[in-house]
Amino acid sequence: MARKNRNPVGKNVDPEAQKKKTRTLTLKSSDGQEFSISESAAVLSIAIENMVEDDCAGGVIPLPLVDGGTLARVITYLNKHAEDGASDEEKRKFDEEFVSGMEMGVLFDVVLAANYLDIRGLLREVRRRIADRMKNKSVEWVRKTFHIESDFTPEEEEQMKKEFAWAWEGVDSDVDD
Amino acid sequence: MEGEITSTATTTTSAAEAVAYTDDVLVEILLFLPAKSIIRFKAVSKHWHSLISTSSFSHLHTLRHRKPQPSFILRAAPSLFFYFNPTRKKFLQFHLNFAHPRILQSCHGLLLLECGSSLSVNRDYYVYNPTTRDSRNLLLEKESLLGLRLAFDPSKSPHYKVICVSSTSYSIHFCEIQVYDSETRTWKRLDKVFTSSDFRKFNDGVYWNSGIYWIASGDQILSFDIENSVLESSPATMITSRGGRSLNMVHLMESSGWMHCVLHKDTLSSLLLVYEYEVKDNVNDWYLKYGVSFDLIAASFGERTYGKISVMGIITGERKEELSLVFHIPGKILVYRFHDGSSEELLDLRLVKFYRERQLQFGYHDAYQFIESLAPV
Repeated sequence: MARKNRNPVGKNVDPEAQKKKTRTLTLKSSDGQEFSISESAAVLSIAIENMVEDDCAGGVIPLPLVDGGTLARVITYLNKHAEDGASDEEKRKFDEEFVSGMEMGVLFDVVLAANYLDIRGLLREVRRRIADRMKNKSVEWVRKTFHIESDFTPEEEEQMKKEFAWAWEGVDSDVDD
Repeated sequence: MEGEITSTATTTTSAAEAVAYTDDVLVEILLFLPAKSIIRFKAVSKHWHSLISTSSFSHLHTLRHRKPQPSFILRAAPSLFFYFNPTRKKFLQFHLNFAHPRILQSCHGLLLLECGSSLSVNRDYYVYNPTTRDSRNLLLEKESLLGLRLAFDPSKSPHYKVICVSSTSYSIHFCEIQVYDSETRTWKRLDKVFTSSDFRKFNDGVYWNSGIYWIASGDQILSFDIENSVLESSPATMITSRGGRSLNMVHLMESSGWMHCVLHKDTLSSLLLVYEYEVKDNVNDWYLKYGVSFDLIAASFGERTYGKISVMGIITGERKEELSLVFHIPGKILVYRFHDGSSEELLDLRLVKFYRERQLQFGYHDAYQFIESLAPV
């Protein structure tokens, strides 16, 4: 550090960044749970960063669209990605494990939270994971999982199945993984 | 919304619905899916169907899924087509809903079709996406057509061009070229006039590196640069000199960004030589990459070729460098992997209705790559 200080350009440790690391924010979930998080981790969410910048934070940031369970997960993600010295490889591995154990319902909660909080890396990871689970599944499985009622007639559905027979080939059984 | 979320169970239900009906969230998830899943999920609901069918979705999807593993469309009889997936070893009938369709070319997910009976003067020409089954009539009225080629590379542009070569009205020895642009939906005639004999084998041409390449009569490879409308020729003696009299097949093929010339010699146990077009010391030329004996491969499966071989294509595996040759001999579809010399039987055709002993079930001009793509036509 001392050596860096002698740098003629004056590339010092950014005092602002240092402050962010020590300053903590409180995030409040829809069900009233409060979580503390370092500002440097919290601002990986573009939405939170904007709130902090606009100074409308006032210590506690209410997140009325995210429940406590989901917020706890999101915070775990943010902390890892704000961690000093975590290599890209380490983060990649963390991301992989972070989403691999989640059920579809949890993935849906997290994708909505990441979308609302604008956390790009997490969004990409969760979207990819949801798509991965859907990839070889049947139309019926998708309807059940997404709570969608079909508005096609059985004849219309049969027609699509016939015309695109190759796309219906090799579909997994509907057992959840 | 706040009030609704009270327990984990309802969160899951409302979250699932929120994802299913929040279009921007849903679209971003669906864009990760391969074209095959997308086509199937069009049947989920009318809402999903319309979301997936927009041209902006197709375009984004095409850009994100650049090199899907190819399957094939095979023609067993004039109006009998099959879908064949070499990875999954699946063989299914494929319905082409056109009157007397003939596939002229497959190019990065789109097919060029000629439709109309051979007796009819009026033929229609279509650009067709076999994945989405969307088609566009090129509205081409030509009696003296010499050749028609499709040029499409979704990594460069979502639009395609069609190059039409036809005799001039005053002499069959000269020809003119019209280029169709899918973006403007118009045909445009080039000012230049060309020599008809140069375009004699234009319909065997492949689209590669912004041009159409074909083997002309003699020892020449001709190429037509589409952007600049320039016809160029380069010697191909390296290839043709190898063949001599025993040469019974020379084909150009494009696969995953490479252009190959496949040469089949009947002598020497049905030898196939594969040349790759590449730049060495600033000179573009053909270099021998692989050699393989069909008879030896067939023998390893207890089969004989009877001198009848149909090369279906050279495809890449999981890794771009790992090329495989997919080919057909009477009764079988086999694959030979150049990188490790292994071969495998992909399909036994002896049980299909159109099987005839010692005969090919489809020829070279009956096998076209089916690349799963949502590319708009």
